[in-house]
Amino acid sequence: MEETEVVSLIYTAVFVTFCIILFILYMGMRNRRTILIKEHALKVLEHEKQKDVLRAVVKTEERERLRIARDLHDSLGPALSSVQHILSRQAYKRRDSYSEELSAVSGQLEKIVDQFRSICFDLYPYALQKYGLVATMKQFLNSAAAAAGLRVTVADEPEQDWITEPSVALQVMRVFQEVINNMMKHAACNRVDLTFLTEGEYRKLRLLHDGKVFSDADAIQNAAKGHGLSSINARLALVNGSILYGEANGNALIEIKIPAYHGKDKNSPGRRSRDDAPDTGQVAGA
Amino acid sequence: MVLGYASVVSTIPPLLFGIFCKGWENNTLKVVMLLLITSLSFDALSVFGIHPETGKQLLFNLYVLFEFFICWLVFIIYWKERILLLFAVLSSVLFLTVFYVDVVIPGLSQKFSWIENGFSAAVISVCSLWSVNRVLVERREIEYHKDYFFYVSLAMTIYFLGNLVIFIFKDWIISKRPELWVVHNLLHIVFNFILCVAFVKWRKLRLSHSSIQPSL
Repeated sequence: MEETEVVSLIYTAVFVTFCIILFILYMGMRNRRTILIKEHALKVLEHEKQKDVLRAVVKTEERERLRIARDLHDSLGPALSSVQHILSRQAYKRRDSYSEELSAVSGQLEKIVDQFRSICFDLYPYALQKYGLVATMKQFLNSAAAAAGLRVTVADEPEQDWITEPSVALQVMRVFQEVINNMMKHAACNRVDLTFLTEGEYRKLRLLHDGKVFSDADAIQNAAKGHGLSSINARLALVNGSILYGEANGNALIEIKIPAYHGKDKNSPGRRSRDDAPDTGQVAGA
Repeated sequence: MVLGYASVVSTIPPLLFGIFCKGWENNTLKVVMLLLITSLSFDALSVFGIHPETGKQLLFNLYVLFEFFICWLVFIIYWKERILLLFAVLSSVLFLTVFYVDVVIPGLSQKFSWIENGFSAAVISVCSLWSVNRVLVERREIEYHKDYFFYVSLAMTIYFLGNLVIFIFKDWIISKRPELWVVHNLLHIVFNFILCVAFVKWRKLRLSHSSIQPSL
């Protein structure tokens, strides 16, 4: 072999070697990308599966709550009310020594009936079916605020079809209940402002209060501790919603954001969860 | 000539980077630093302190021996796998046989052993290529361009695979066409440059995960 041939052989070999290195690098990167895409798809699928399981659990829970609430409301509720009514009538009629005692028992029974109603509402907000989401939220906030002595203002009250999907409305109501309960327990506030907002394809529920500020970081830190926050997150995840904690103009801010579903998007969680809604009949101002 | 000196000096920056980035806190990089120190020591000896005729052959043959085992050590420490250890033992036995037959029997300073060098480069090339591929495919929890070991493996792949032909034709190149050795010098500079990047990446990783044990 001549000298020049050896030299060109060496150069060719070095060149080929580098081509091999580049090819192997390219193949490695391609494999990595393919695997990452597959892993991502798998994760999405797993997430969807988890959501389906959660949806099924919530559906069962709501169905059971509805059944219990309906049974209590239809049987025990009227019975208690009628007993209380009889007692108060007797107390009014009789003019003897028992009258005062009957009146006291009637008063106690009235309180029990109120508590019973409140339990029924917690179990399943019947008003949601009758008056719609906005009215039910207002009613709940007003009664909670009255019990705690808070001042409440409601702004930008929307039309009744603010959220039409029954299952979405129910989840939003549950989240709202949980948020208000948490606020009452921990925020130590005197004033609450509730604003209903519509921003494009989203519905926003903005709560401002003058109590203790709860940040997103606090929410992450406390999510594992309490059942309430994890329940809020799980329910919002079901409707593709989100919650934001923060501060605005010196007030504590809580903002719930939900995509608006009006039956346009067949793949929206609202559409999907229509089948999952407990058998409630006509709901939320429809 | 200039490139030859540049190639020798190019070992210093990764060493400095290694010291600056606390490379010794990582077991794998500790061995890489050992490889750099060995390389620098042998280069310094070959330039300044050895008999120009026979000494260079002796140094070269011994350096290949050290280099082979240190490179294996890098992969074994990083991947911590039995199968790799088994391959390391098998290839070491073969390598030592080649070393004994082609270097020790004729005399340590008699010639440059292209078989020893070629075998060493081929084994380390295969191993580093495998390592690059593995980092790309299996270490998906971190982006590969942020992984210091990707750069260590890449540097070794480029240096050893690129030099494979040069090492095989080393005798011929040195005697007939010494200017071709420039390819080796260039690859050595690239090797050291990529190692600098590896140390920097290690530093970033160490700073971002300061709570994680550094002996990854």
